[in-house]
Amino acid sequence: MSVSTGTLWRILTEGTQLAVIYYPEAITREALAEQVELLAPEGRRVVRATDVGAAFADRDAIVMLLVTDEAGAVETLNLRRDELIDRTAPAVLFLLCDGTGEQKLREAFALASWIRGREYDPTRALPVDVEAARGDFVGATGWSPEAWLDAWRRGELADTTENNLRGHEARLLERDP
Amino acid sequence: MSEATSVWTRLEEQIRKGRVSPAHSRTEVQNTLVRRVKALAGQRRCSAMAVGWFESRSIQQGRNQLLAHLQDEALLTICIDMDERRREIVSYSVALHGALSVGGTTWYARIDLDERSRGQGPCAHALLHAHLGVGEEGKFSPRAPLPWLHPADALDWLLATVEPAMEPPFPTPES
Repeated sequence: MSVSTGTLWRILTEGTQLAVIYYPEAITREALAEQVELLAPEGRRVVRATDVGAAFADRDAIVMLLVTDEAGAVETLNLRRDELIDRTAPAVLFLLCDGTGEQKLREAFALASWIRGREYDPTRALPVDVEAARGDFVGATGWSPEAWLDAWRRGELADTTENNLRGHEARLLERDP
Repeated sequence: MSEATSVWTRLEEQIRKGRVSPAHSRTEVQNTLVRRVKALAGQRRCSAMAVGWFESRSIQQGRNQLLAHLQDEALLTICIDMDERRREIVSYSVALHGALSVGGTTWYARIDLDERSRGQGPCAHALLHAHLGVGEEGKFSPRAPLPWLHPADALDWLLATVEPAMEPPFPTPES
């Protein structure tokens, strides 16, 4: 999979009213909330809220909705989505991967359609084409990632930045490390 | 085991312990780096958009690679391999490349954490080490051994080394 902080930066910077961030576990939710604060545009207020009602109250701030009842929050946002139209900064709803909130969102077709392209899911992004990437590696070096790593680990290749980065790439592509 | 050998062995052991921590999740490590890049942008040393240039790639479950390239007058490259299940920073490279304003001589400064021992041994090729030099890389590039440094600390060291005004902690927009 491949995902970039640019996706979240774009969501926070462009004129989006509502966005969703998926998190795999509670500790990651906190780290992602911190990432929103770091990536928010300069001068834009960022607030944390535990009540979904904050999405309808503070229209000029990035409002992070860190709610307990995620399914209930999705239902509320779906029913009242017309009231979000004049937000100048996004309300950002955090949903647990495969949790009740995400399930509810799948059922709320209109809301799900509305936020398409405004979702940040760092743990479930599009898969990398491994065979194509391995082919590119062979094309660039003449060696398979495994053969290249063998030589690298024996100290037979120059210790340059280029080769160190190549080493990181080879380890990512290595089979049965 | 001789006293001299044990110093390098102990250093390697310290690094092996330091690379595993509950705080070594992909997002948390990414945040430490984004915070510094944001500070660089605040000083007009790189684009404000650079905070969005961190790419995360994964093929094997739990193994992640964080990658960012920033180019201004110097090129900053950060690449980190992580094992999220073990909360381990497996390896990293943080590198700066530039050219002197007078004469144009190229220079480089890089810190590498190797995944495992390789080369001559833990003294000549410490697990975590720095390369500094001018001209073409790889011709003569001894490795200076380092104690455990988080990638963000490695970045701090590189930046402060080439620009004394960047002694950490960086001023942040909030401070």
